[in-house]
Amino acid sequence: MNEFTDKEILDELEKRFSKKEKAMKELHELTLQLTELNRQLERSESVKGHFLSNIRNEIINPFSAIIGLSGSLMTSDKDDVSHYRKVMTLIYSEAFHLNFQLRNIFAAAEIEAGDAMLKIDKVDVKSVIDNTIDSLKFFADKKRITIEQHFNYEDNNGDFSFFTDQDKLQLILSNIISNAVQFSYDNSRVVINTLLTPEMLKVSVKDSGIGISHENQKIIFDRFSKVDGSINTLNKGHGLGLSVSKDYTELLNGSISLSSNPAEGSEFEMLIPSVTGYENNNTLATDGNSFFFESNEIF
Amino acid sequence: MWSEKQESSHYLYPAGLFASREPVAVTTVLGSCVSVCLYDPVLKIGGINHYMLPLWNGQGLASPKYGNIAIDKLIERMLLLGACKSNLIAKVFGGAEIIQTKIKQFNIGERNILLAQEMLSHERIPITNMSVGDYQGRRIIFYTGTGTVMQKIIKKTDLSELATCNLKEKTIGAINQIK
Repeated sequence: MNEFTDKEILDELEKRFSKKEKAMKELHELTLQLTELNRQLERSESVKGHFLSNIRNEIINPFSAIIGLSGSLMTSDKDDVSHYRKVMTLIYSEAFHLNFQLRNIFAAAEIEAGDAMLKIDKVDVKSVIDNTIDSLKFFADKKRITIEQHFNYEDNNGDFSFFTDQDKLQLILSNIISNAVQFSYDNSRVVINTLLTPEMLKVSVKDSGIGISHENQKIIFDRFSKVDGSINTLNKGHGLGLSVSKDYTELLNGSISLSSNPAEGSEFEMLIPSVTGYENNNTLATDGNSFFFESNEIF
Repeated sequence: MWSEKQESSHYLYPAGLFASREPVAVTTVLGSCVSVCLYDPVLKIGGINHYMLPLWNGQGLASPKYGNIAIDKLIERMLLLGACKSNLIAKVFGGAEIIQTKIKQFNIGERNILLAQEMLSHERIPITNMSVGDYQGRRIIFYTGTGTVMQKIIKKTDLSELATCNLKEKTIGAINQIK
């Protein structure tokens, strides 16, 4: 057997100690991560519970309202047009929110099931944004909020078309813009800036509302999280909208970001690239022939 | 040289999940993402996922973007289609180290692979085949009717294809892990 000198033994010992120290440090880091994870899971469980109790308020109540209101229309005086108009407005408003929330719930369920898929088409971005604004106009008018739109498409040869998934884009924009309207003060402005180039689409939505504190900015994209969690809040919604928007933008290979200061309003910015790479998704090679596989490429 | 006959095909997006009783050719592109393919050879049912990060940390939606959720959901989906758990075999792909880093905790690919191995062994599903790690992306086709997987390594020169997958991983993956 080899004889070791004292120095060799000492070096070896030192090496092993330092190795162990490194392992301990890694272990420590992992433990910290685990604790943090646990804390977050607990939190997530509790908000989920809250969500289930909210469902009653957010879905059953609008339905009862719609049934009650339409029932009253059936029995009311035929000639009272102003009454009709008032009740119809209420029905519309309830039905709109219900529809919007159900869309978000189904989208979230689809994402969580792993079934979300892209349907890429040539999309007229301007009309998608216009439609979204139109659908929210009723609520903006009610708070006397003006929605300003600036559309820059010069780099896109003056063309509004862009390759993306229309339904997903629509839901993302609906969520961001309706949030902006919802959290804006009365008589204020919501500004939508759009930049369209052949490679990417950038939409930023700026409101002049209450803003979001730095602490809350971290959780705003979490599911079921609402900055104001109380049941009696005036803010409608499940807190699903932004997490759905975030996952949809990621599916579209893009990103969504938020910059906000309390009392100065918030600005959401969505950036998505033109989707072309996914189309090449069959087993055909570029020259039209099937790929051939060597035996070491088959598992 | 060998190629399978054309059948109905499906493209699996990152964070997606697919399982079928009918024979379908599922294509997906993997960087540091991992796909677990499950197959019941008796009933000829196959399923595949494509996850980007190992563990769901309670943020955002509990989607199959995260390994622990993706694997659980895939097994669940297979059983729902009638597959028998004791029949199931697994094949694991992906987990390349596209973004090279010295810090071990940031090795998303490696952590993705480890998670698949741990969870599958915990579920007692044997991994019969594997092509994981290394530094290059993979394009795989999984045939749900036969359980066969065909793989092409994506050459560094052909980055355009990987870009769709990796640009996303790079940004989301790296950022989420650092948070």
